[in-house]
Amino acid sequence: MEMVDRYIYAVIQKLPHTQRKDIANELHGLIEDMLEERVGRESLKASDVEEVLLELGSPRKLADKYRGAKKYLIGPELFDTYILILKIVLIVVGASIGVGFLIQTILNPVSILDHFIEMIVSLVTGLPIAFGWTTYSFAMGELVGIKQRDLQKQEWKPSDLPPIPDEKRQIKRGESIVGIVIYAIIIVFLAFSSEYFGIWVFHDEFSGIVPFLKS
Amino acid sequence: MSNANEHLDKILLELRRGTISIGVLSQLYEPQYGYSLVTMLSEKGIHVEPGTLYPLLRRFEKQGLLVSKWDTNEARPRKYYLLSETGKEVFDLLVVEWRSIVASLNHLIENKGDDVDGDG
Repeated sequence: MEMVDRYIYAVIQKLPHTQRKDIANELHGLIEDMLEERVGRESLKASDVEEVLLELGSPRKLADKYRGAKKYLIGPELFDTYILILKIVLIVVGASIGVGFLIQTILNPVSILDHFIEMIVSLVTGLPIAFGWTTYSFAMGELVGIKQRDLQKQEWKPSDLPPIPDEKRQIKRGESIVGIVIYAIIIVFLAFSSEYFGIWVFHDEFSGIVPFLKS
Repeated sequence: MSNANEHLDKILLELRRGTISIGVLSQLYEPQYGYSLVTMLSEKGIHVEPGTLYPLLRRFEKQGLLVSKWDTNEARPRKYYLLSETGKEVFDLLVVEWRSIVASLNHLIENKGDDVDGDG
């Protein structure tokens, strides 16, 4: 029955989160019904399971039928992840620009108005850029995924099914989020605040920075 | 001849795709689960792949034509589908449309040579 679990996992993995459990339960029932009709009360053979799965067809095709044949820039397989990453990226970019404003204001409170205008300009240009690049990357990912699907034209076999990943080995969502946040902060800092990376010169009080990077 | 069969298969596939919906709705005045519908329809001469029927049932449910309920009392839990009020209405309208399509097509098929004869 492990083959059945792998099959169902391969199908629901390509469907939106909200429908996964229900469809998995329904497919379990269906496959058991089909097996029972095939072998009756006799003991199950692995070949019976394979035949039933072959009758149902490749998991990708079945998932496509559940989704309906629609065209997407970013399909449901990627959409949940896309929204998650987009939120993180926008929050981090926005927050970093805000923090940049705070630091500049603390270092040089007299020109707070300049810093404020600078922050608004950074937000207006930075956020759409972040949004655009994130969307672009996912759209490209979707496109490459579709191309790969078209390449795999040969007949599907149950033995192609990948194993269900071990719970412990799956990369935790939290870990990925922390990683993305840290990288995004570093990038925003490099992009918008490079003038602060350098030798801070103090003569009695703070008097300027000799930057490492020239922007 | 095999060429003709190939064409036939393609056209039949398209033709069946539409008629399956009517067949499925017609059987759901009583609650049925997916596989019982597959068997029921095939006994009555309509062959549907489970891989086609299950997503179809789900789509009808999402559109509000069917309502569903999980029955967990049996040995294995099953999801039963039943026509909703909208579903019944839609089915009745579909039947009327279907009859008129059949009538028109029968007329076309039976009189296929008439126009030519009439003109000549």
